[in-house]
Amino acid sequence: MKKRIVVTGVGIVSPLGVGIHENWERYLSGISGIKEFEIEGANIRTYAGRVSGPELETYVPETKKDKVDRFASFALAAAKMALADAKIGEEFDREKIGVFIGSAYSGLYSIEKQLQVLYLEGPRRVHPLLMQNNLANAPSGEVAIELNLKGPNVGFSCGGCSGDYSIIQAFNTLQRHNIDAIVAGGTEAPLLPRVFEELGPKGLFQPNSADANRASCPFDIARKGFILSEGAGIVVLETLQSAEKRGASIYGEIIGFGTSYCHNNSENQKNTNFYSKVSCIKQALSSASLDPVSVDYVHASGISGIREDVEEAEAIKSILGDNDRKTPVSSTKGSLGFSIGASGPINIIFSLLSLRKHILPQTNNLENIDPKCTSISILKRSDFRPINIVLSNNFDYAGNNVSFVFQRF
Amino acid sequence: MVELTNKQMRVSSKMNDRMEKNRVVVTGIGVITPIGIGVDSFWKSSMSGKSGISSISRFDTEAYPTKIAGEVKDFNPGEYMHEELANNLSRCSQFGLAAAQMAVKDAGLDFSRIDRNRVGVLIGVGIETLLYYDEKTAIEKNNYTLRTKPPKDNRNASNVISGFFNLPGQSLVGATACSSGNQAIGIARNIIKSGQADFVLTGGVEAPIFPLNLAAFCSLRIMSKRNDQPEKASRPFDRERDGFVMGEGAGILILEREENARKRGVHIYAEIAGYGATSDAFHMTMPSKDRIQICKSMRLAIGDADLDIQDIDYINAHGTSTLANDSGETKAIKTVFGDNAYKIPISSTKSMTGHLIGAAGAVELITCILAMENSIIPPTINLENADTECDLDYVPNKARKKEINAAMSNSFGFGGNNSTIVIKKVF
Repeated sequence: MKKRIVVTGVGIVSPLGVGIHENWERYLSGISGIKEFEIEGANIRTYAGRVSGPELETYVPETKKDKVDRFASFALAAAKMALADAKIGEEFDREKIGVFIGSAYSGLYSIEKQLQVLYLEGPRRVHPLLMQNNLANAPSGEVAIELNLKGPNVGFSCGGCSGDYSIIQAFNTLQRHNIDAIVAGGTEAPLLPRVFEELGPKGLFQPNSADANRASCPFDIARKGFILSEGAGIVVLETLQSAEKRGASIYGEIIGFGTSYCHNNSENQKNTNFYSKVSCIKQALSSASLDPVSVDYVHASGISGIREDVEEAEAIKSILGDNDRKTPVSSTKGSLGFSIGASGPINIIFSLLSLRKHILPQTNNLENIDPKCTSISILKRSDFRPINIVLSNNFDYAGNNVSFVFQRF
Repeated sequence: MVELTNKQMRVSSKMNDRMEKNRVVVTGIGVITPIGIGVDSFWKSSMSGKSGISSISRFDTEAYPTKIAGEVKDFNPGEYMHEELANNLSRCSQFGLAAAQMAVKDAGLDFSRIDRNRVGVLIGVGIETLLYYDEKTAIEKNNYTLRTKPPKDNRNASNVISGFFNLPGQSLVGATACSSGNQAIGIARNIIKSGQADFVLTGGVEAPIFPLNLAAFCSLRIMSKRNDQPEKASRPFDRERDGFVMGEGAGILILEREENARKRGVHIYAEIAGYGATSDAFHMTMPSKDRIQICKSMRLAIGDADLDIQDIDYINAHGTSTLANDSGETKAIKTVFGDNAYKIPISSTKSMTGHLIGAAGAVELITCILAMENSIIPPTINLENADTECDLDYVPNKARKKEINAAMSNSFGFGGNNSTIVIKKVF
């Protein structure tokens, strides 16, 4: 029989802050985490969402400071937060908790630094911590060691859906294996010259916006591409049986998900990216055995991409239709930016907070909706309304798509 | 009517008792290793106990304490992809794509005749980001002779494969360092069992022979320095072993439900019958001394396969040729199998291929499958004087005939993760 899987704890590290309430309250009050940003060594000013050092430090264990890569330190902080939020204490069997954390760029800070060491000082000067710190599974390993979690331990990588896929595989693993919980999500620290260099020429993000506060503006006519940011989103997935047995407070139940991949090559037919997003949302709804009208709210990916936002708006419209209910949609990227592998789990956490608090966040920085996106009902102001089902999308710029459906418990 | 031996009957009846309809089987294999490309060449070398280790030929190793590795010498990406794509891809992705094509062909898969949405790709890669930038930088700095154009497509290997075959299903990389290939296959099996795909292209790939990566492993002082005798350097369980030897390669498998394979009428290699995974939660690069979680990983896999310890006919060990691993793994096998441990043939094929990092678990599971298929166990070469702490039957130096109905493959990775897969013969 299929096990029911719920979320019992969440943790966020983002440019808006380190902590659940910090993120939620600051977002709702319209604060942006996007700031002017100078790319180190390149002497170029742009915009990016950077995590505040002092806030992060309170969460990173003393023994790990300056010993782990930046992307692992985010995961350590968010995982600690999530486990505490789930109220999982010492009495919980540690052998029955796994860790699945994803990342697109892994330990790129360590890699860049040691590449310099290699070519300036020679191979014998390369640091012995490079290997353990660069690995895509470094966050999973560090979190397991720090929190003493002895279940399955895996890292995943799949561009901007790295975190989402970790949650999907965690869901599958909870179904098939005799464990009770998995600490799952994504983490990313991509604010390095090389990443800006690689993504810039692709026209994905264009930093010449008028001001930092408006640089990332999903679905707005003035948007010029996404703004890169860093952070981590970690959730505690738990079997309903385990959660109920210990009387845990439940954010919501994962009742479905869909995935798709569309390689954007020239041979592809027109609109394949649109159809790919449609297919992803459709799978999510059908795996949840839901009619589109049952969806009460869509937490959009809305990365502030020129092409991507239109495709997503059209995909949502084509599935939810022009129903009278005018299903509300919002994106939180205006304040958060796009944190690649961490963005999906952060979206999920915001979606779960909406389920719990009955508040649908506004779309920050949305002033004039792009006429191509007006077919859906995008929230300019936050809304208080009881919701039961939320669809949470995460679509990256490279063709990876994942959608989740959560139900209020 | 095929007559079954008692043991076959036991294994087979356990399979029937289980009434499990969605058994996951392997129907296609693609392999690239330092001792051969393609199943035939790889298997011939495995049987003859060939070493694939030689001096590193692609960059200057003067300043490195270790100067040897298992290089794949005769790989021509042009046989598998257009020049432009080959130029854009890292060596890792080239391997992955080539091995995937071999596996797809072997499984008789025609994507134009099946629902592509139902095909997933889950590839194990251990050190993907570092190696991409390591390769790129080495070529840009003229510190690498194998190719002249730096790669510029940094998609995950899974996306490269999904993109090539135009597959919209789940597409992701599983990363658990040295056990990535083994873990990926276990997780891919979950995807099929959960009904999220009809086929998954899975396995592992790694092309780790680049300057920064070699320096990083050297700094950990766990690599062999037997530079004057490359072919003797990888010697798991031997008294004189002095560390592991890195190798490059790929192992890709096609997984599908048994029912599906029978309907297609294709050859079934084996069932992926059990998967166990645990974490030491102890140290990122050192195994825990008590080996409790390694034991548990093996026990979980055997239990998941509905087998008992006496049903396992062959173990392909992680057997890295490092001091700590080989004695520790031996101890763990003895803990799990008790007196039976002495009766089970165990080999480490890393003695021939070197340690293929993220590809190791997949190539070694393929080795188990081929051993089962051909009823012959590949040897642990260079085992001249076994370490006193390594006193099991490691099939030293010569292949051995044996009927195999169930086999087990261990993989352990940095980050403290342990992974075991058990396969069964499908009658």
